[in-house]
Amino acid sequence: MSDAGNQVQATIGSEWVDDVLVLKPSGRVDSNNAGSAEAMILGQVDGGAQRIVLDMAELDYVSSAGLRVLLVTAKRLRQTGGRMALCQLRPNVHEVLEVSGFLAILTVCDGREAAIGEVTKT
Amino acid sequence: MGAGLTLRLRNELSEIRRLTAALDAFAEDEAIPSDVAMRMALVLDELLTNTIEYGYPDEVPGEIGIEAKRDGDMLMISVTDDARPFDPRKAPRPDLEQSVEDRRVGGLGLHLINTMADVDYARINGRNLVTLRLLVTSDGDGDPVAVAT
Repeated sequence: MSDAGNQVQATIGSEWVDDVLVLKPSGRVDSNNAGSAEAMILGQVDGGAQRIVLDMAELDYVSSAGLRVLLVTAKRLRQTGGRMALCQLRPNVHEVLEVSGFLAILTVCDGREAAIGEVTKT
Repeated sequence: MGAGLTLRLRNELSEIRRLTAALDAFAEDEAIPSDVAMRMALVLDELLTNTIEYGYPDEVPGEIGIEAKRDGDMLMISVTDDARPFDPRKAPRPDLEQSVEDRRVGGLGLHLINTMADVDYARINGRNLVTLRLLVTSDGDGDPVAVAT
C-alpha cells in the first residue's frame, strides 16, 4: 500500500477569457493532491496557455506542496515568456504566501479583472 | 475546556486527511479562531508530511502520535514518531529574497513551521519529540471583513 500513484485529484475549474486561461482551484491544495494540480496546470502551459490567472476565491487552504505548484508554474512561464497573476486570495492563503515570500515575487491582484489586465497588458 | 486531542497515525500521506478532520473538530470544541486553527493545521500538515516523506526508509511502517490541548491562550501540541532523528529547527532557511528564476523549489514547509509556531525538539528513547506552541490570539484575519455602511 503505497501513496504513490494514489493521489487525490485537486479540484480546479478552468475557463478561457479571450486568450487568458482562468484557473479556479477550490478546497485544499496539499501534499495529497498537489501532484495532480501541477500536472493539470503544466499540461495547460505545455498546451499553449501563456497568460494564466489563478482565481483563488474558493481556495481554503494551501500548504508548501501547493506553493511548489505556484513556483514551478511561474518558472515554466518565465522560460516561455508567459505571464501569471493571482487574485482573490482568502486571508489564510494570503498569509501563507506572505510568510513564504511569494507576495514579493508573484503578481497578486485583488480582483479578477485586474489580474486579467496584468497578464494582457502590453 | 475540552479534553484535548490524542491521535495515532500511520506513516502514510493519506493519513493527513484524517489529521485534518480531527483538528477541525478539536478547533471547534476549543473555540479556536479560524486563522489560528489554519496555522495549527498547516504546521502539523507540514511536519507530518516531511516526516512521512523523508523520515522513514521505504516501506517501513511507522507510528506517529499527536497530542494537542488548549491551555488558556496557548495551544500546546506534541508530536512523537519513530522516524530517523530530525530536528526541524535545524532546517536551512530558504532565501525569500530570490527571484522566481533563482528560487529553489522546496524547503518552504519547515520554514512555515518555524515561522508560525515556537518549536522545541528532543530525541527520547529512540523517538523524535517535537513540541509546538501557538498563541491563541486571533489577528482578525480569519474572520470576514466587516463592511461599514
